[in-house]
Amino acid sequence: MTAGGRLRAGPQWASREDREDATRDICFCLLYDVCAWLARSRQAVPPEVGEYRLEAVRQLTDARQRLRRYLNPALLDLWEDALQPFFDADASLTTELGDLAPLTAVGLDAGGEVRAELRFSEQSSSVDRFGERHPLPRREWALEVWLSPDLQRVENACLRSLPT
Amino acid sequence: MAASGRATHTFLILLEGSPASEAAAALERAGSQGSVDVLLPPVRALRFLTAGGAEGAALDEWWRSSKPVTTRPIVLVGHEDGLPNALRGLDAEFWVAVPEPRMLGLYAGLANTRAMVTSEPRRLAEVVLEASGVIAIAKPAPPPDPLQLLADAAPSAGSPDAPRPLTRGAVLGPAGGSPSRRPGPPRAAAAIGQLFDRLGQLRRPALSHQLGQAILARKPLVAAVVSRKGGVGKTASAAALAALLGEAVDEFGHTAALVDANIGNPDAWGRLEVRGEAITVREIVGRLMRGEEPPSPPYAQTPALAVYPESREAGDGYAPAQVQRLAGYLKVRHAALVVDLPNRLPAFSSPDAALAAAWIAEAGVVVIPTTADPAALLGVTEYLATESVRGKPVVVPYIVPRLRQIRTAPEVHELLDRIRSAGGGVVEVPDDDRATLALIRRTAITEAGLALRQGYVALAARVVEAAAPRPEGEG
Repeated sequence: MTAGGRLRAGPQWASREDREDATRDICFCLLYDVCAWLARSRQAVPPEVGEYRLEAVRQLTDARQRLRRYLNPALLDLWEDALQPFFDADASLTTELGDLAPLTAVGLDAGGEVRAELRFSEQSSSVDRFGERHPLPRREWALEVWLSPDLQRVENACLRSLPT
Repeated sequence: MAASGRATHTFLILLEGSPASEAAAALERAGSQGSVDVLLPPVRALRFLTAGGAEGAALDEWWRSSKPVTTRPIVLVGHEDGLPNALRGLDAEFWVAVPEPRMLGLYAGLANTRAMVTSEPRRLAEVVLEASGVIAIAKPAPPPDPLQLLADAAPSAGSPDAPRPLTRGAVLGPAGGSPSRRPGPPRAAAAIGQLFDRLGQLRRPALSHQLGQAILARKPLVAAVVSRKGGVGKTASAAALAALLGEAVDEFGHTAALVDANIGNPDAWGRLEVRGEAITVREIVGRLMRGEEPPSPPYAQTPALAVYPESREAGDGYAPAQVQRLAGYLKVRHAALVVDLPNRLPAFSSPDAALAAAWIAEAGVVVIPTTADPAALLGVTEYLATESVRGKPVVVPYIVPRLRQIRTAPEVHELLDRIRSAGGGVVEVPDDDRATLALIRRTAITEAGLALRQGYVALAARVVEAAAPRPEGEG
């Protein structure tokens, strides 16, 4: 079943497996779009990124617009305000992510809110307006995500630094 | 427009619309002491550089009527398609505003051009003024860390919507431990793609406790991975099988080993990320035959998997006694051995063939991978008919082709049936390019994809099942 099919299927999802897949799919899209936003990319999601399953938004070239389709707008506004100093500096982020991104989730069986946690490591560089790279230290993060019961929307999320 | 007196700098603004006037205003403010001329032509952007005909003539006229340019002009312009080529070789200093970082590279090879990411003409003007020495601007600090900004932006803890720490109970799959950084090209999209290749682990089937117990009941389990024909995934199968056997016995404090006996084409090195300096099979055999204790082997990323690579130098074969000595040494150290052998039928006609025969004699189970290629399938039947293999349990990983016409071809099914009737237990493994990708990225083949892992887990289970348990009271 495609993710689109899963998302349309909504509450009558039969299997936990489908809910796991949908959770993974939307968490993928969220991290992908956040990274694309910080990279200031103005491209649609390339076809080779097959893991991006939100077909309805992948053609949008602005990652922020893609996010707006499935992320709580209040949270997106909060993030936008927080990132203003970064964007005001005309900077971008070149992301170098780690090999592993274990994903855990709770609430899949209950049919209600699902909470997922994606852990990842990165050693990225911020790039200033002249293209000069400013390497950032290697860090590990947990992206915690609260999903609506139908797994179509990200109701809340937060990025938490983990001790390395 | 132009300040009085002899200007030390001439700025030509080719930005369009309101950005042009904003930049001009910023430049003129800075040039109030007469050091700056600002020119704002009636036709701007790329058209200024390429205009011909009446438009070109009008521009020429505008240029003649403007204040004479006595210094090399500094041109402010916005990026558009075709601009990089148009700037090549022009006698001016160009500053180009680009909307995206990836466009900086378009101008990297132009000696007369600098590019910067900005959508604000005032900032471009300030930077150009500073770079030209007209005004001094403090060197900008490195940009703020956006991920930290996001982390700091978490809703307040008192908010009912505030994220709360997750409990670790009822989680999906293994947490996976600390992720390791993979060096690679710093391309966001590619890196994210790589990252999410790994998200298949969400439903990664964990190896059962029983599989580990079953391996220990057969300790030492020796699997010889052989083939009559090359290109059937023999080494990949050996590496995956060894990794999974190691994973299965890890919780019991035991290890598995991958032994590269492929003396003609040693390549276990490339299939697993090996830490540390690796002692080769040839060195170990040499030390054993001299009565010396070999050093510990290197371990792959899976900590319960030791890797014994073969020397990359061409070498002679091994005498059966040397293989016995090596096997005896390894059997007491590892719960399972997976031996990757040359593409030869076992015999004593050549060093390769003799090595295959010697290791098969040590093995409790023989693994013969195949594709749907009839030559490969026939190679399996040939192998099954050899004296060395006869009577031993045989498992055949069958790389299932993606093309349905091949999968359903009667000829293929007939040959598979022949293999089954000759005693080969066929286990289907999907044909997945990610197996090759794992090789390219030097990552574990067992982590390359969910279906691939499931196929190899089934293979490992069948291999363990096929091997005879150790009689009670032994071990």
